[in-house]
Amino acid sequence: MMSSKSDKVVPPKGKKTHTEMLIDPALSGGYRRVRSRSALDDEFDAEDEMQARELRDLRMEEILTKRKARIAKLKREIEEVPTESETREEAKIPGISITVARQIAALPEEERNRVLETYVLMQAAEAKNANAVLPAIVGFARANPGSSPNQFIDYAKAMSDQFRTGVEVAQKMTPTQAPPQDPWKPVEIVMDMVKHSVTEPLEKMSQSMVPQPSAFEQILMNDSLFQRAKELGIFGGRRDGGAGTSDMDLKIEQLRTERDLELKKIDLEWKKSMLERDAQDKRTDAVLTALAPLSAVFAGPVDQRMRQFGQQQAASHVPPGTMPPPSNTIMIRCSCGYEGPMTFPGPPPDIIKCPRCNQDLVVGGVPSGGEPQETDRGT
Amino acid sequence: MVESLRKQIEELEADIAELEEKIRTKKAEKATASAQVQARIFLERIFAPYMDGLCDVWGLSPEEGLRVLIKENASLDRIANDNREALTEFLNQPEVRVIAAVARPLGEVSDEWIKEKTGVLLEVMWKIRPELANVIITTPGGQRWFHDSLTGLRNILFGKPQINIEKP
Repeated sequence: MMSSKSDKVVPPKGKKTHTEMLIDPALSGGYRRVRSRSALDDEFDAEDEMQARELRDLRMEEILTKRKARIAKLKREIEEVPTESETREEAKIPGISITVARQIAALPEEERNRVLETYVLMQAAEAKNANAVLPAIVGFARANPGSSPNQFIDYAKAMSDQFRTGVEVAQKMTPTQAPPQDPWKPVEIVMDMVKHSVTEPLEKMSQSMVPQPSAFEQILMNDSLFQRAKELGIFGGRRDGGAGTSDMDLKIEQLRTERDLELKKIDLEWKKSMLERDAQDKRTDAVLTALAPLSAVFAGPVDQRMRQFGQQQAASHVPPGTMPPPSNTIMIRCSCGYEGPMTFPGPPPDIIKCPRCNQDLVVGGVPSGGEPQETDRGT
Repeated sequence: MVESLRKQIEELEADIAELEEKIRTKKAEKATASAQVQARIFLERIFAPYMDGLCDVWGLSPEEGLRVLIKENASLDRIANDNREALTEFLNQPEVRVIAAVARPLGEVSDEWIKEKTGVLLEVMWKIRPELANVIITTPGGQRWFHDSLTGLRNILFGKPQINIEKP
């Protein structure tokens, strides 16, 4: 026995005290355990939820940043719109009609220069009236050739005063007009429109997208609200059974039932998936398909070994009432190391084959170590 | 909402019941098929040749030898244990090692399994050696001897690992 142990080529088993089943547990009375939810599963779920919340917050921040950048861009574009005063400066063209310009051009050079000098002076003093009195100055130059520059200026002043007076009279006679508009007014209007149509909805939308605690969570987080709600019997109804809380009780019970049913549904779905997997289990089939051909390969040699083993055992155990071993059983001793009995229905042949090495052995011969091998006459 | 959930749950429960029944049936079929295959290996490759070897030396037919063994309650493992040296030599034969490894699942079956599956074993015995099966059934104490011999041979072949198969 010691020598057979030392022949082992695989390391010892170590501290293991049991062996694994290689067949379907159903065959040996075993069963497959179904793992239930553990505290670790709850921990993983909580962690997943937290990560999802963080991701949602990051996404919200990204949306807000993009919207703010867009608003800032809109503001910049609005500021770049040219103001009314700038437009007026760019369009600063003398308000002289073509007719007046032709009349000026038709004047003699001396009168024309005086008309223009007077016009420039008038424009410098009162720009608005200069254009108005220019035709009158041209008419004065044509009617009074050779007039001095001072006469031109005096006439222009007189005409200007008369024009101003006429305008004032006309203004008094006409209904009061709206005061001139502030050039920034349209810009402010546009800004307000942007604010109402873009900024405020965006801010409201952002606030609504940020996870807000539900009413129930707010009650739970606020001690005073919680106590008050408790007194009102929101968490299970009042003891006095007031009609005012019955609806709330029903609602809570309905929510609780829904939650329980949801949990049960999830549990059943999980169980169903496990069973579906079990139903497709083909491990036993694999064992069966492997066993049959492998055993067939070694069927012959093993049959022979078992038979020889039985013959060896029979020699050491003879049950009472049985006949002694017949004379047609011989003991084989081969140079390959094989040694054992072999029985024949009749007298053994002269040459037989070694059951182990299949070499020819001479029955009744003496072992010589050479070939052919020899056998001893058995018992 | 609640009604919908209840309906879904009822459907799921029905599906699960159907699946459980299907698995039960499939497992029973597999267990029977597996038992037949293992029994055939055990009886055809181990039990029958061993009996033939014994009866060869005793000068008895297998049926006669079997009746004698049943009568004196000499199970096959008891006979083998009477000659430990030959048993050790036999178990160290390469062919026996290989067949023991192939038929390793047989070493894992419990005494109860052999007892429960005696019907299957005898059924297989009827197919491969009807004369021996008839003796086992008709001789008083035959089925008990058969059970003891099978468990004894199982212990001899697989009780001590002759081929080292490491288990996790």
